[in-house]
Amino acid sequence: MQNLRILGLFARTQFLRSLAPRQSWLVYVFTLLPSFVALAIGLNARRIDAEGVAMHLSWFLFLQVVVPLVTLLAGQAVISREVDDRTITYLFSRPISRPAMFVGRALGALGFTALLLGAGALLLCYAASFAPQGLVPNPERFPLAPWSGDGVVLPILGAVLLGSLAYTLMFAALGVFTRHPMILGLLYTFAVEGFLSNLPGSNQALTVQYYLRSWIAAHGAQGWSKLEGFGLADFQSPAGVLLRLGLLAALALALGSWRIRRKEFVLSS
Amino acid sequence: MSGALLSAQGLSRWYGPVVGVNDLTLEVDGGIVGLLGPNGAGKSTFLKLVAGEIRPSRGSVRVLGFEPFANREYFRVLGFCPQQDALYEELDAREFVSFLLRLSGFDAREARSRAERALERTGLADAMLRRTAGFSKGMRQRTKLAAAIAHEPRFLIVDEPLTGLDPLVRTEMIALFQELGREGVHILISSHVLHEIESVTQDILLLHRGRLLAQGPVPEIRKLLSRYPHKVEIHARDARRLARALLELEGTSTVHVAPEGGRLSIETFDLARFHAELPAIAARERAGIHTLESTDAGLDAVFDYLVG
Amino acid sequence: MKASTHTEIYRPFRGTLAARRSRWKPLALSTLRGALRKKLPLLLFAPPAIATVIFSFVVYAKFALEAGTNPLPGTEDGRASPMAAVGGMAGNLIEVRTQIIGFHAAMDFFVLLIVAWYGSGLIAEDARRKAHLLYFARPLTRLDYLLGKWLPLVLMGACGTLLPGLVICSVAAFASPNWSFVTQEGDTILKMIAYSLVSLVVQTSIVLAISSLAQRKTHALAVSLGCFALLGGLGSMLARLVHEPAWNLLSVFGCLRRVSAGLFDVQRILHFRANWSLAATWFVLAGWVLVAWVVLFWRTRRLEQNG
Repeated sequence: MQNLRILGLFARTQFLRSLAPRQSWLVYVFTLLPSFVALAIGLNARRIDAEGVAMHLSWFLFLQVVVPLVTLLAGQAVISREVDDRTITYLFSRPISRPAMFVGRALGALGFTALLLGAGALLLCYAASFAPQGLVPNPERFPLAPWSGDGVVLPILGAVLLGSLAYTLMFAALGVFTRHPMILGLLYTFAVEGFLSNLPGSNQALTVQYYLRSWIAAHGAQGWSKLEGFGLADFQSPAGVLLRLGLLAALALALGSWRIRRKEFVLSS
Repeated sequence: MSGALLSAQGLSRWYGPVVGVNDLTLEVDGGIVGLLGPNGAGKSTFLKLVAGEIRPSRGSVRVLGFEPFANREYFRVLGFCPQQDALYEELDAREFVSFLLRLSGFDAREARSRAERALERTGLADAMLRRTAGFSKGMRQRTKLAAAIAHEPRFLIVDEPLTGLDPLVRTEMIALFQELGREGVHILISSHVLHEIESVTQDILLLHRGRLLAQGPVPEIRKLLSRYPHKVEIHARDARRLARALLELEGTSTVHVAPEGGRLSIETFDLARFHAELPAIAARERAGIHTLESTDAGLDAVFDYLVG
Repeated sequence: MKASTHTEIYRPFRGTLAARRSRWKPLALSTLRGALRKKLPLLLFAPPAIATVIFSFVVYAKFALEAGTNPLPGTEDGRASPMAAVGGMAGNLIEVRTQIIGFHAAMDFFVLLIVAWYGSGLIAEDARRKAHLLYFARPLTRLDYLLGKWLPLVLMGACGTLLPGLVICSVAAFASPNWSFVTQEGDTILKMIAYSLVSLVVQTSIVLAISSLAQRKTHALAVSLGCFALLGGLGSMLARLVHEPAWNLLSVFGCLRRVSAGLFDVQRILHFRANWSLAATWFVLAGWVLVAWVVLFWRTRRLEQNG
């Protein structure tokens, strides 16, 4: 019960802390950029439809760049910011369960990234709908458009939320294991997720991106398969995606909790 | 194991090739204890070990019967005020202390009222609703101390609390430590400011190059330093006559009379005998002693002799 | 005594400086020393070093094959074999210019990694640790400070692009018969130097500007890589989406490749078609550099005045 209380306290403080624009302006900029681009294209382009704008921007920018970067910035800060700022001493000299602290913070960060990126994805779709041949979602009916039928908005939203879950918790755990989670996270984002996921063959299954694509492929409209690099692999079933990404998230939480229990953070004076 | 507040057996901690503390074996009974040593002596490492922030590389340490590292039961009775000035800059002082109190198990209301009391006690009543980002060094120090004492710990560790503070704040801090000591809180306090430590406590641990150089009340440590003669300064009406008589006293090594007369500096290896015989000598020689002072019985001298 | 107010904590130096210039030198040297202190990040130079060896060998092999000799000593003598003729033809097909273009295109990302790694913390960490207070308490101008940070960064970046290019050109010069590479394709060397400098100036300026805006090195690193990736992705995606190659102007790497194509007079770099206005590309790159330096001066001024 005490652990749950601590977990909740940390989740709430981490979430509120992340929301503060002073701390997270960078994350907001990254998240909103594709929406601005979508709006600019939607308002100015002549030969393009809303579906195309939403799919291209969410696939090439949002899922492959913005989601990993935003979750990296938010996830790695769960522990490493405390270490960098040398405030972790205050936490580790209190009678709290360290795993509860880690899980609470990680879930707080997850809440923030899921909310922000989810909102960013919806905003992107909304901005895209201003394209002259706005197919889905129709700006007049948004947000009451029949999303489930359009094969664009819901798949994007689902993939973004799943990506937030997997990446945020992975990067949070990374922050427990290493003093330089940002560097390793960037290497992972660009070298593994950016490179491996675009190679043909079964290597793709080693990346989170592959499962996000699988999710979209299972729920998305025909237009998705025309995107470059999208149809390079046999996709997982939605149940398989949920199972694997859920396992990955749980594993990240478990490993982070296990490591932080006895880890000492040596701060220089 | 005795009922000591703190005991260490062969306690060592190193960071790669750098030795923090090396083979410390000691026992501390309680009360207020000053932890002294020059820069790089291992004070902060020792405090981190005692505070459970880091683990020993070798040996063991127990505080109030607990092994400190990551021990939640121990953290219930511990108050730790670290050296670094870091605070949660986005919070105000009351929020900061309340948050840490909530981690100690208090509910929101209790945490808030305790935080306010602790901040009042450290003299931050007027600034408790200001964001800590704009705090001065002294205010940060007070905030940290408030956070460390707000849950009424049995044992308080304070790392360099007086460094960088103005004289007024120093005096207030010292008064607070004395008050806490009177309330029965055991305090381990590290500092470079020797005379101020001396005004808080006579019990010290002296570290140098990671090793324990001395431990105990300052006057007793001084007595153990028999290699160095004790220095006594006397102001007397007839200093020359008294000097002559004192030179014949066993144990006296040198007697120096100031050129202007009236002031005598004496060095003796047998301070007890000197004090026992002095009244009789002074009466016999009609020296007319005004003042008598031991000039190297203090912490400064002990520190100099041991470290210098 | 005349009353005065002092609203700036650290005031810029307003006296007369002695004739000695280059006050940025000590700062640049200490920046360089600081950068080289950690050994592990030097691994970032491994990919350009390995690529230099490979590309140099290919260039050497070109001239060896053209001359009809075997580029791998100890194996079959190519001169006597029918393969020698094939080798000669193959040698003719390999162009040093193409190798240099390919090298730069392949190494762009690694050069960015080097520049981002070493450049991200240069100003951000100064501001975080308040080290700039020490610098600006001395007669150091803003330009001195910026040069002291920027030039070492350019030097580090040059080790990943300019230096390897020079090595490849040197191999070509020495391997070519009668210095034919220098006499016939001497302009390739100048173009290689020009491209390397443009690439370095653009990348280092942007990274340093981001460093001046960020609160931490790690944030600056993420934003630097993120910006290049986002803009690159955005540019190529929009070019594809609306069938208008000019959108590639958004991508810094796209612009650099267009410059490379323009300088070396080719239509394609790897699979990348450079089919939009070169003048606009120069304009965009100049704009990036200008904005970066405006940001740098603005942020440095704030550091100088507000502490």
